[in-house]
Amino acid sequence: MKIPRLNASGLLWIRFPAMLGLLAVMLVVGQDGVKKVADGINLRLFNSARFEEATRSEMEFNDLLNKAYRFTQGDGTVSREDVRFALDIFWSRMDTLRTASYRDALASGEVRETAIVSRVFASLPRLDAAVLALEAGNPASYKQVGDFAMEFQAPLLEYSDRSYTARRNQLRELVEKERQSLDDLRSIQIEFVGLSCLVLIYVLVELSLSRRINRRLKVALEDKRRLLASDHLTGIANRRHFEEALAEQSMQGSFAVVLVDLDGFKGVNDTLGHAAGDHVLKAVAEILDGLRLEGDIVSRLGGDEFAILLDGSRDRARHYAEAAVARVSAGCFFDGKPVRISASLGIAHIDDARMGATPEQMMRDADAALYVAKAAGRNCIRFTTPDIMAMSHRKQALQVEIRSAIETGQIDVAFQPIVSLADGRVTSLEALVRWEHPDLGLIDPHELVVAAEQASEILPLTLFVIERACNIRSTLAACGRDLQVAVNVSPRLLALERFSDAVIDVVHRHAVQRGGLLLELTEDAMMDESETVLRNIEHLRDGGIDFAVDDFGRGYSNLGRLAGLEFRRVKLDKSLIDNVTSSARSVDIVRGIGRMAADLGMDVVAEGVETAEQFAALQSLGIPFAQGYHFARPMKPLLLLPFLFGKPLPVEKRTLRAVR
Amino acid sequence: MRSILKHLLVLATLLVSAPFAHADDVLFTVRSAKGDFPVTEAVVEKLGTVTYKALAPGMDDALHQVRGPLMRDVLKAAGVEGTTAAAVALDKYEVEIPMTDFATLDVIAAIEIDGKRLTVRSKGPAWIIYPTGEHTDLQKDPVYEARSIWQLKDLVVK
Repeated sequence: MKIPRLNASGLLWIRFPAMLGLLAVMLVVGQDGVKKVADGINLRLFNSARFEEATRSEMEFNDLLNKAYRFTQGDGTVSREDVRFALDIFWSRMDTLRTASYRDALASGEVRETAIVSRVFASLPRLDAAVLALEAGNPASYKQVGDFAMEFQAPLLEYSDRSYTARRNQLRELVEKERQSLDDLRSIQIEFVGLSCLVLIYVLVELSLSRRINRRLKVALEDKRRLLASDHLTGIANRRHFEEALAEQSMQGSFAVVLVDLDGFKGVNDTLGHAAGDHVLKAVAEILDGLRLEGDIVSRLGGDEFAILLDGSRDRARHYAEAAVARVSAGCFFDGKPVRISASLGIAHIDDARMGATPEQMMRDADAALYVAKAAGRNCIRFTTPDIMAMSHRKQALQVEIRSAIETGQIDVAFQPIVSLADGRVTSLEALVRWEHPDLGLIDPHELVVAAEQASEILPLTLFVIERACNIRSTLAACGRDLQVAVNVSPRLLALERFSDAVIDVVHRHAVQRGGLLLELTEDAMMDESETVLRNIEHLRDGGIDFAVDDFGRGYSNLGRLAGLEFRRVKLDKSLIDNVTSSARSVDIVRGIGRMAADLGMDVVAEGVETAEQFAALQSLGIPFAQGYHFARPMKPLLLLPFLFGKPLPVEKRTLRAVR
Repeated sequence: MRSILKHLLVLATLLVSAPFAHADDVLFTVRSAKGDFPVTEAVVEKLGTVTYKALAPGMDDALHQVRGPLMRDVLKAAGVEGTTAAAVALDKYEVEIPMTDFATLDVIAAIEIDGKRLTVRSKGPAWIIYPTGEHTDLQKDPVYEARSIWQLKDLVVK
């Protein structure tokens, strides 16, 4: 899966410090610019004021001279006080201009004639005396003031002019500076606009980056969702996705549930290997997916089972199914070698469904139809029919009811005696489960086991039977009859880790002696000899429990396994016994197996003996044990006890006599 | 004995405080739409004065002991309100001072520097001084230097 990768992840941490740093630099630069502008203005304003005051000195001197002259000329508008005031103003001016701060400012304006100020100031007491000496209306009294004027007027004028020029220059510079300040301000403005652009670009980049990450996350989530919904081997939908789609399916539209099971797939796995099996599964998935239309869901449920939710009419479902069967049976190639494979299909179309059916019910119906297709010889398709649906319904009912049936005693155990052919003595019993269904009557044991397996009730059911078997054994033992009791066990149970512990627990509780309980394993079920199975068998055998091969001679009998697993007993299938009076070949097989079993140290039990002829034939072939209607039917404990202890009931009279 | 001491004190006070001053002498005038308010020696006497160290721009760069009435007291006594005051000096220098300066700063109309009464020759009789000793950030600021008007003649409140 693709994880969204952050391109700039290595540089991510630097982005914010970089932005802040940039901002700080801009602030410093901007502040510096503003400070330069402000300083320039300040200094020039400062100097300019001083130049102006210097310029005024000459004017104020002239004012003093003018007033003094008019006073001596007898001008009535000018008083002595006016002259003194003018002198005071001039005095104050000179005093100011000679200070260091003014001298420095003037020197910066290239006014070098500052010495005149000191000279004038030093001479001020003389001017003071001259002014004191003025007399109204006496022009002669002006002489001393006039002399003072002669001495200082010209240099003061020059000083004043210089200051004026300096001030003008200063003002010009101020204007220039202002223009430059404008430029500075403009550049500050540009810098801030640039910064704003940078910030904007940054924000946009950040935005698009996060959008991209978002998009990638979305894609990743989508990928993950798809992965969760898809089968890892074939890439089509998985069971989970199919079941979700099925649950959401509205019952209004037209659709079909199609179940596909490959015929002989286990053979491909076993003979060509798992790689070949996987290859076949992929090829089939491709075929089924290739026929898919918009709206269909093609999925693998697991193993070699496929399920399709097919949109459309019944005809379309038929076309799809027929095409699928044809293409799958065309076979495929693995490693250059052709692989023969075929498929069976069960189809439940909504048009065939019963009123009020749910998608789940249709799934079960399709399964029943698939079962029928398999039974009909495989490589074919079957639609649901009322019969099939009834069967499916019955199966469903059995599965649902099985637990309560055990609890209420509807399911019970009967025991069929196994007798010694040599002397007719009952040597052991086989426990057979019976279900008297109140509506459906007596349920076939095989059907019951299948239902129990599908309802995951097989372990409780088997333990229940073992419990009853142990019970009857204990009861009989108390009466002095030590009989071995056999119980049928689905090979699948041996794959359960806790199976042996559960059985041994029951055996211990009933204090069953070693060899008191025997477990019969069906021969035709291909038993998976996994570690768990072998450990369970070993554990049970250590616990004193024997094993028997059931139904030997039906289907694929594996002689090798007989030797390998050290069975205590082998039971010949009824199909062999049925022919033992008519077929020489059957006779040979029964004799052969009987000898071989004897050589291996196993008991041989003939099943389903129904006639005296079969009894005689088996006796002559040297088969030691048998069971069947000829001797006794399976019996509830209530009937079994009288049977065993010689109090025959009328029904059983005939067979009993036959045995003895 | 007691009366002699009292007389001596009065004499000393007269000698020290205002050797040439008379109660009617006008230091400067506050002008406004309501009319003129002459700030005389008597007004200053009534308002009282504050003393602190500050720069006197136009003298030198040193801090001096300055004394004078707070401008806000003067304006309150004159009963005027406004946003700006145009200050005019005897030498015809003019500057505008925002009235907030007087409200927020202890600006005085200095009449004495380093214990000497100000005359026209020493930039008197009244000199607007900012408390630059306390507010050092105002020192050398051309704006406040420009507002530190000496030889204050009129304060026209607008």
